[in-house]
Amino acid sequence: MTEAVIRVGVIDDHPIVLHGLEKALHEQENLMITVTATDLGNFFDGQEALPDVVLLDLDLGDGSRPADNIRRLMEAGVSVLVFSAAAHPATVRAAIRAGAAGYITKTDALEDLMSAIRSARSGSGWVSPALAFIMLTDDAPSRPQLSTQEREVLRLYSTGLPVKVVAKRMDLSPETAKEYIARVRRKYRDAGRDARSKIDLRLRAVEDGIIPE
Amino acid sequence: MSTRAQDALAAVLFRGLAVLRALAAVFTVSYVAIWWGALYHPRPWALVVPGIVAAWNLYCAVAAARRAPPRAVVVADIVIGCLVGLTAPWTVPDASVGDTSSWVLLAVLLAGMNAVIALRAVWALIAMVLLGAAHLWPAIDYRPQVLTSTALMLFVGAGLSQATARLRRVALEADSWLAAVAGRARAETIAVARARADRAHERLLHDTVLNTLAGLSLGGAVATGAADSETLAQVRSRCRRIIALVEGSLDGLRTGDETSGDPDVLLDARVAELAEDATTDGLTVTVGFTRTGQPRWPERAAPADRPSVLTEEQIPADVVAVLTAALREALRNVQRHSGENSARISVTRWTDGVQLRIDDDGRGFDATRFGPDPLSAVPGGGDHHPEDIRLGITRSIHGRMADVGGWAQIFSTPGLGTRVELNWQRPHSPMVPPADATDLRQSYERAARRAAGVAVVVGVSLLALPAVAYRGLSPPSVAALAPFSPAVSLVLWLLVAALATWGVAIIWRRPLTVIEALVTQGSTVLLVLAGAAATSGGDVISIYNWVAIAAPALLLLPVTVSRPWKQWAGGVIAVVVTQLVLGLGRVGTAPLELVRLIGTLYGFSVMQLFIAMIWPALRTTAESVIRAARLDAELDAGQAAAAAVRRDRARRLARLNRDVLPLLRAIADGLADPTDESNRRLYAGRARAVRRMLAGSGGRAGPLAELETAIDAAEARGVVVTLQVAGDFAAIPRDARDELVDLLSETLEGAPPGRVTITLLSGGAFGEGYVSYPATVPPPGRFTGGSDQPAKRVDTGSRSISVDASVEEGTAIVELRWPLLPPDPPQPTPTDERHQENPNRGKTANVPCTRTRDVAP
Repeated sequence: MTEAVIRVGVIDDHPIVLHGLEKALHEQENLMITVTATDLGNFFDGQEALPDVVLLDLDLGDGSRPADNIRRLMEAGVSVLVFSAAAHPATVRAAIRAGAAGYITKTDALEDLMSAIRSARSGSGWVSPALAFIMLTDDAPSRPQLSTQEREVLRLYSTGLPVKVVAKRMDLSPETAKEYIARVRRKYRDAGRDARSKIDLRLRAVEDGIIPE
Repeated sequence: MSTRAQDALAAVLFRGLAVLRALAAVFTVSYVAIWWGALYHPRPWALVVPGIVAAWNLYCAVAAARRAPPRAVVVADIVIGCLVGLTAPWTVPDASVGDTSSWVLLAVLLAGMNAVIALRAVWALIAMVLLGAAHLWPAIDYRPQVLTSTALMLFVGAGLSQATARLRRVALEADSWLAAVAGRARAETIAVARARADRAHERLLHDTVLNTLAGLSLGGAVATGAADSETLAQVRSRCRRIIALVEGSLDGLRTGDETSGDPDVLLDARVAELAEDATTDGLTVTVGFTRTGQPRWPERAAPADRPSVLTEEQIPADVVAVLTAALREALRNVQRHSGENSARISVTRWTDGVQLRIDDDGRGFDATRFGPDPLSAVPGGGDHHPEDIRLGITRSIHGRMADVGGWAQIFSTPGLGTRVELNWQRPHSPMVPPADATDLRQSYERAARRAAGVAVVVGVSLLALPAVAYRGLSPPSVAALAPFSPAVSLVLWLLVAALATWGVAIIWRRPLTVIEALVTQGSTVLLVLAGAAATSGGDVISIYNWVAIAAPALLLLPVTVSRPWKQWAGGVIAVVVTQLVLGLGRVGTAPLELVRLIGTLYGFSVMQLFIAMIWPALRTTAESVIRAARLDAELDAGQAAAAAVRRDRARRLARLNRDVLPLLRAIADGLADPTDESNRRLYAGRARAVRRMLAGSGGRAGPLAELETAIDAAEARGVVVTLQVAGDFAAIPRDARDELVDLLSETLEGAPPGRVTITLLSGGAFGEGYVSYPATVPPPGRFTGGSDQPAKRVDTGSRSISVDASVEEGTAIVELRWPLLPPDPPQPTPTDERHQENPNRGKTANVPCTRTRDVAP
């Protein structure tokens, strides 16, 4: 069966990056860049058919907050892959909490970018070793609670070991090891959702006059 | 400028004087009432002068209670004092001329005290001599009392002069320190604002560089159809813009040339050079150099830290460069704006700092409008209005000084010239601020107690004169003492001296306890009674009874400087009541004796009151010093952090300049084809290097900076290195760190082209590292001993690091583990937000250190 073509959008405020990505992805099979934009306003302007996956630069230089941008895109039904030059780990974590499917740096290899796009399209999410490392070294008080197994899988995977090796070292099946990694990502997303729910609840309570502003 | 300690001291002195004035007015009225029948009733014109004096005293009491009297009032006071002294033979009865218990002496004495408090030392001395002469000369025939009263006046004036000079010096130092620290704080505010702006600017710069390199590596310069030349032109233009930005940032970081040699000599030479240059340009400049050989603020150094021999600490070369640059600006300012053709430069060198002061007598300006507030300090703006130009210079001076942790102060008033002070102090040890204001206040109080102790010793020694000179002149009122009459006076002096010595010995170390105070007060009352027993009739309030009229003031001084007011006032009241009962019982209604009695009690009481009032001033001074010390310490901590951040920034920019700018220049100049495949790989490698640098993970500015050389070499062979670092690498012992760098470098050297991931985690009691890359054979070199799974401990010869090497599932893995140093004791954490700039901060917590796999033996 022929693999469906993945429609990709790119939102980045650096024209050279936009241009470079267009060139690089143009040569890939089953992949089509349908839109490039320098901000979300441009992205949504005149768009009838939204792409499947959007590569989103975290700092668009327009003052917008990455988490807001991610939520806005997700609400539009787009899977978001964070594509950043040198984002601060806290910003990346916030992006994952906001629901981003994955994180990839602009200096990563093209094959990694392709894997990330395909994973994002399939809905499984893309946890690169770099993202695993960022989650592993999270020292924020609000970080999700990880089990010992999850933490150890994350630690070994973040060092660049293949999942198979990680699984073997922990006497797990590769699927289980993968599941542990995916579970950590979900915990981040859930934590972000909980936080948003709490904010929403508080706003509602303020509106209802239950708690003072 | 805040002058709280000096204000408090001045307020205390003038209010104390106001109290004395008010009581002097009461005394004058009482005096007139007592002598009413004998003098003032028959000769009403004699009332004119005491009336004026009483009114003048009341006026001064009211005026001085609110604020320091104007210079004219002080001069008028001295003139009135002299006139009162000169006219004494006509305004007081003959018996009272030159006497200690006369409103004349009080008027003269208070004018002298006013002069001591309000005037400079030399003018105060002249005033005291004039007043002393005016008091002595008309009453010269009324010896010995005129000699006693004149000596008393001069003694009080000299004592007050010494005390106020000392207190003023302490208050002045506290205030000047606080003011200077406040200046530094303002400069620091600018520095923080600048740092924030620079940080944002640099973040943008690095982000732009990184994105450009990443975009080029992806093929961002590869043309699509007809837009070939347009795309390339845009890329070139962008490269040129980045080059200009990096070069601009590098210029901003350069604080001056770092010429070798003794910076002090260099500073002196530069100052002289600049003065000469300015003279050549038509400005006459005089230069003065002062080396104090002392620290600027002695309180800054805790006694334990203070070396016995004070040596000058060298001024850093960058500070010299900034000082001379700011001096140049200041001299230019004089030339352009002052309207004067002369200026004075004063260089003051303390052991721990330096000040360059530039004075001119030009037209001046409103300096309060050009303070170093952060908003006005933000660089930029193209103002051409003269005042704006001056504002620009002000910014420039403040900004330059702030860059090296110094500060500038500009004092100017329209029409009254300008003074620019450029200050730099070496940061001092963290233990400088005393624990709290109480400690320092206690220290000041100890100094004040000791000063009082010295006064007591001197006073008691002087009392030996009447004790010897007037011994036996007044027959004892107690008959039993008559046979020993001449010796009684000497015995009493010995008792007074013993009591005083005991009190002084205690207050030299600590305040008197309640019991000791009660013993002192009781003994003093007993001595007053003994004095009365040793003299007869009206002599009880004459100099023959020096034990009662002069000694109590000295004997109770240790109590006054030790105990709360209720306790010392109790002793004063006890002595006053005793003297009053004894005096009134002996002198009856004799006017001279009555006024002497009142005068004695007045002098004794106000002296204790005046001394007790010093304490609030000491408290305020202590608080000023503490505030300055705390602020100073915070600033030093911030300054040290800022210096580290500055060095870090400089390294990052230098690396951009070295590694990236040549590539971008080649593109901008058309010498390199950015679409070329090999060039694109180069851009990708540089982009990864910039990324590593920004993440603080191995670049020149990050931990394990030494590793970057090996990474560069590996990248040149086609290895793509991903470096991930978490934790504090300062905690790695030096030998382990060197070994780690060697092992990692060796691993990288043996890694085949392709992806290599290096992960370093440092935290808890040990650190761990992993190097992984696709391979089917174990890592070469020292790791050759490793075989296929399971991982095997490799003997690398390292004493500090354990190494496991293995190949699993087509991946070569080198695992390293090393011990860490115990964490440093917690340091004070300054709140300066510039600390957040340091990319290596905040990465120490929660580094996972669990290992589930045992290392094979």
